[in-house]
Amino acid sequence: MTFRQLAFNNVRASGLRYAAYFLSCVFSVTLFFVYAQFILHPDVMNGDIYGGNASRTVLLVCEVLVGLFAFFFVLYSSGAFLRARSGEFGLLSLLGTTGGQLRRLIWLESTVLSGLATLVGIGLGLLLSRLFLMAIARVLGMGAPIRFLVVPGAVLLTALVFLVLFQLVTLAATLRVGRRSVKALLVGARSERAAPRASAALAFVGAALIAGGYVVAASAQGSAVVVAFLPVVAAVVVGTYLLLGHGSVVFLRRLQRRERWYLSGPRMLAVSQLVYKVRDNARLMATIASLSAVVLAGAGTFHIFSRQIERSIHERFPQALSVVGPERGGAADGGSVAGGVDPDEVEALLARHAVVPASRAQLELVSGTALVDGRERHVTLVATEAYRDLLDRLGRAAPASELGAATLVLAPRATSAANGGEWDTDGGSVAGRPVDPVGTLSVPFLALDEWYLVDAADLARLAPLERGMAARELWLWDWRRAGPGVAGLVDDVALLEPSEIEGGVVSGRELAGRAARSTLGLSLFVGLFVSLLFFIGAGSLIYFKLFTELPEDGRTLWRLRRIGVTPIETGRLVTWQVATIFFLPFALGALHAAFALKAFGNLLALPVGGYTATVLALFALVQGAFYLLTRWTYIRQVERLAA
Amino acid sequence: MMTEARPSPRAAYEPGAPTEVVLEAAKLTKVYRSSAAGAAHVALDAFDLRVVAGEFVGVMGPSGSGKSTLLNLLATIDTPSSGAVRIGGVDPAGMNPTDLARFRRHRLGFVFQDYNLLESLSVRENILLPLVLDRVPLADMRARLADVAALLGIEDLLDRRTHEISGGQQQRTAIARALVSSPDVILADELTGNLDSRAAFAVMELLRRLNEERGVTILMVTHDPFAASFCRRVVFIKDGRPHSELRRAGQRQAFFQQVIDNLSVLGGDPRDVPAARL
Repeated sequence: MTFRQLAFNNVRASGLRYAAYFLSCVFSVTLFFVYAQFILHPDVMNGDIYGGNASRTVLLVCEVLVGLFAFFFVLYSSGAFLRARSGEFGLLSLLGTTGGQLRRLIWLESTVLSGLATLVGIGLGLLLSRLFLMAIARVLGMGAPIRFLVVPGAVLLTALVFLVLFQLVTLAATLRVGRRSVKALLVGARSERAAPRASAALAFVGAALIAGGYVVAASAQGSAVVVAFLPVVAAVVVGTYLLLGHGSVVFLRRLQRRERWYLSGPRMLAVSQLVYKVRDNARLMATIASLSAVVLAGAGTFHIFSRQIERSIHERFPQALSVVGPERGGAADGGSVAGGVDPDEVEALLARHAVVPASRAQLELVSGTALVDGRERHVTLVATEAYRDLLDRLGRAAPASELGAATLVLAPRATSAANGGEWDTDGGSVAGRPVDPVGTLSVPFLALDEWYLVDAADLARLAPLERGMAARELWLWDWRRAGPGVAGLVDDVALLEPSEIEGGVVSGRELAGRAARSTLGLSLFVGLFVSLLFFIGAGSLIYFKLFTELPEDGRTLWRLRRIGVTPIETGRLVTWQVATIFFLPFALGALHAAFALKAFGNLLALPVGGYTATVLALFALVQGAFYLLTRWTYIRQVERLAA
Repeated sequence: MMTEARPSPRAAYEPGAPTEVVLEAAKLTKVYRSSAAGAAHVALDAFDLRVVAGEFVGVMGPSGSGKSTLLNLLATIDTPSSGAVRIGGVDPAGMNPTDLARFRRHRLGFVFQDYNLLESLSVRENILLPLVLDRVPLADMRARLADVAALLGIEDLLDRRTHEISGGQQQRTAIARALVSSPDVILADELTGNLDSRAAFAVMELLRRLNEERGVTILMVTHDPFAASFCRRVVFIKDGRPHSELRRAGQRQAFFQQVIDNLSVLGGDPRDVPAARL
């Protein structure tokens, strides 16, 4: 048997032990690759993302983070893997294998393993990107935001990064094994674990840092939020490490001292095992808590932004659809200023898509150039009563304050100041009251005009049109809930817009929403992708970490079973452990995120409680599903070991 | 879930007094089949054994004689191919896993070669474990703990962790745990296997005293004639069947010699017998 055969046989023979390590490596490669595939995708590189280059930089930073994450994860897994095989190495040394040979054996083994893991990881990554794109297209309810393709740059980058990464990890591993004595290797697998020590003082410092950060985050207003940002984040992260590393142990020790509670039922087992579990997993949990906080805060911010946009669309557009009709009788000077849309065309489309509006309305208006208190303005005049009626019909209150009155001098366009001419003040005048239509009724076509409410009689008096003024009609349709035909209808209505440059003749809530969704689509996709990736990453990290502890837990359970501890009791023990490792960091991260979002709300002067709750609930659901899956497989595995 | 009330400590065992069978193996058979060729190996062949209250029985035999199989069946960890186990008159066959575990916890005490202590628990918590799981009231637990700790001389170790104490101390902790719920019988598996001769002597002396002064019923499986010499009765097993039986009448040293002689008759591997430790 050659040396190479020995290495290969090792990998093949103890398949199960290698499987866990191999899967961790595959997982890291997949994570990195899916991400690289995404950020190096031409559609993302060149596409229209909210925030443009800044967003792309953030994405790159995230990729570096994923790389670091992968490095530490693989390093950790490799350490656990080698520890578990310590006895085997000890035996080999005892039989006369030299340190150099042992190092070469480990190097060969892990090169084979990592090469395979890179290949499998990239393959799996391709499969997952495809599935993810399909899923996201369904969720967003539109075509996939980016195409599926194999990005050669991503494949190359992943292969290169992991080649280096695995070699580094292997180097660290061989150094670790080579330096230890035969006896240490032989004993290593079964060495006794010292009882966890924890400092109440450090736990207190941790809690104080977090509390301080929270107070600052919740109370800072305006620009102080920006100044406080970094110090608060630093304090909270350090506090998280201290609280989880020391606070959790101190807390459990306290519980152990309450004998009446502690010495009653399986909780004694659960609590005493947890002391070790939380100590061993403190760093992992703190990392995940911080990670969750970042992701939750990011997702929350995005959610708040998109809800804000949605809300402002609702405020601006009480109408689902509206069109501005053509000038009645054309401009007085004969030239059409801008086209309009015949409302009958919209009615025909409504019929074709079988959309039945809840209400229809129509508003007469006159728009053009006028001299308002001596200055030239573009104005739109509406009859006061008709305007109020319309808003009433659309379920909106008329604007409260209509400041003062103005005298509008209607003048012939030919002599307007813009053309360098003189005003002919004989055009006639009406009294009007200025009104701000934005927030009650937005018509983009007339958005640059100042709106005035005038008497219906005055508007009628303008019937034989003054020069420079044009009479139009605004047609509006509304419905509460978008039925099945609405999406198609809106697409068709958008096509009615006579000229792209003029814009806004066709408008309404549905059209604005459609435009916002298409701009936000890619950004939403990026946001979802990044948070999902991090969450899957964090969940899997816990998953694999738990499974590296499986043999030890299996042995503990086996010991308990031998002396008559029931499956129900051991099941509860395992449940407690898995649940703690899963939910403790998540809960802490969620709390961090809640305060971060509160600070963000303070910055924007917005109440964000509802949004925060939505995001946290959603992620709690994902985390809960992950937990159930893990607990289920873990209990099955550990039961098999305990039998 | 409460433990059934049982007298503790038990009245001292008096030879000749009316006796109660606490542990019984009736035609106990265990056949292992290797799945590949269907070849069957009979590990235990219609084995009969009765242990009455207050006995201290050793089971000896060479490697592969079936003694571990016997213990696993008696401990209800394994199920027989045929025949029955009765503990305090109850056959645990057909119990569901939960009831079986509780039955084991309440009726049997276990002492293992590897101590089987949890390193996450202190010595005190390890001993109390069976009572804690049954939610025995705190005062009751304290009383029973004080009792067994004094009996085993480990009062000073109660707050230590298991890795801080010696093997002999760990084994005494394990015995304390086996005793604390006043089981019908204590099952011990090679309990001196990991101990040096001094600690082994101390532990065996302790068992002997528990048996003689407290009337604790003990069944011990061992291949160590030294440990077996502390028993009152030693059952020799070979090829899954009872081979012979010795009863101690006089001095332990003399009994030790008898055990060794019988072992050589049994034809076990002489290397199974460690150097004499008298």
